[in-house]
Amino acid sequence: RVHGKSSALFYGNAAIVSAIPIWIFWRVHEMDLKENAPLFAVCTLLVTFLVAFAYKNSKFIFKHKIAAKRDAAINYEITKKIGDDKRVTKKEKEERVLWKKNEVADYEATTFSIFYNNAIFLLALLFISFMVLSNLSPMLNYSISMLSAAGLIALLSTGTKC
Amino acid sequence: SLTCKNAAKNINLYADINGKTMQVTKSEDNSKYQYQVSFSDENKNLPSGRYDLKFYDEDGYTNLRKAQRSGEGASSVASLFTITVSHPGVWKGPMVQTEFVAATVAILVWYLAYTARSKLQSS
Repeated sequence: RVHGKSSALFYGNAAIVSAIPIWIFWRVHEMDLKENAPLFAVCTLLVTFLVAFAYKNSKFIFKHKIAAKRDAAINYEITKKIGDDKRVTKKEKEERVLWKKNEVADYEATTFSIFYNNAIFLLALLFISFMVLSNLSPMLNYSISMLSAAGLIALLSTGTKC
Repeated sequence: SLTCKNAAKNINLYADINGKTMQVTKSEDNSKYQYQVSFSDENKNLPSGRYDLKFYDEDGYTNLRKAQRSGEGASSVASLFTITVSHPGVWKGPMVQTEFVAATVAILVWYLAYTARSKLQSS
């Protein structure tokens, strides 16, 4: 379950990340933009979905871990904020802690998921495109390296450890 | 541009460039650049630096040839004037390959992400 704002962030980021390698392939591998526009469009779309998929899965896994880690810190912060206010019941305090923890973990997991997946995607793409497939024709190079890199992060994100 | 003391015009000039002597070409139709001389060589034979181009008139050139034949060396003949050309050298390519830089940055970013994730997992 992903909320609206989170989802928009994921898809927006995924679209940017999938679109940027077009620039690399255009300039370095010398692929003409107009000629290869349909290929670029299709690949970018597929990669966007795969990358967003990876983001969502990673975020889900990271969120639990982060929430567990931040528990103590948030508890301390809320306690300090409440201070000596007698009106706040224990139950309400725990509710606040839970809500704040959820919010913080959500945000942190989202950004970390994006960062982590982007790092792997970039490294995999550069490696596959320039080292493994450097002798292939640019069109094949583009499609295989993009889909492989995106597929890789999608696959890794479904693992339990991630 | 140069003017001669005795207002001589249309004289024959000779240039000594990097040990090679040649006559400076005169062109009548090009009024701005009447005298032109050029030299070229392979890049490795022309390292970056300042090159002194010595110019001689007819008499000077004759003296120069005499000195060269007798093995005295060209420096004993006084030149009419000298033009110094500074050659900055040619670019031999980037010091570090761009793909190396790109790969290094990508690996560094991945390493940061990986350590952050490990810290997260270790809890």
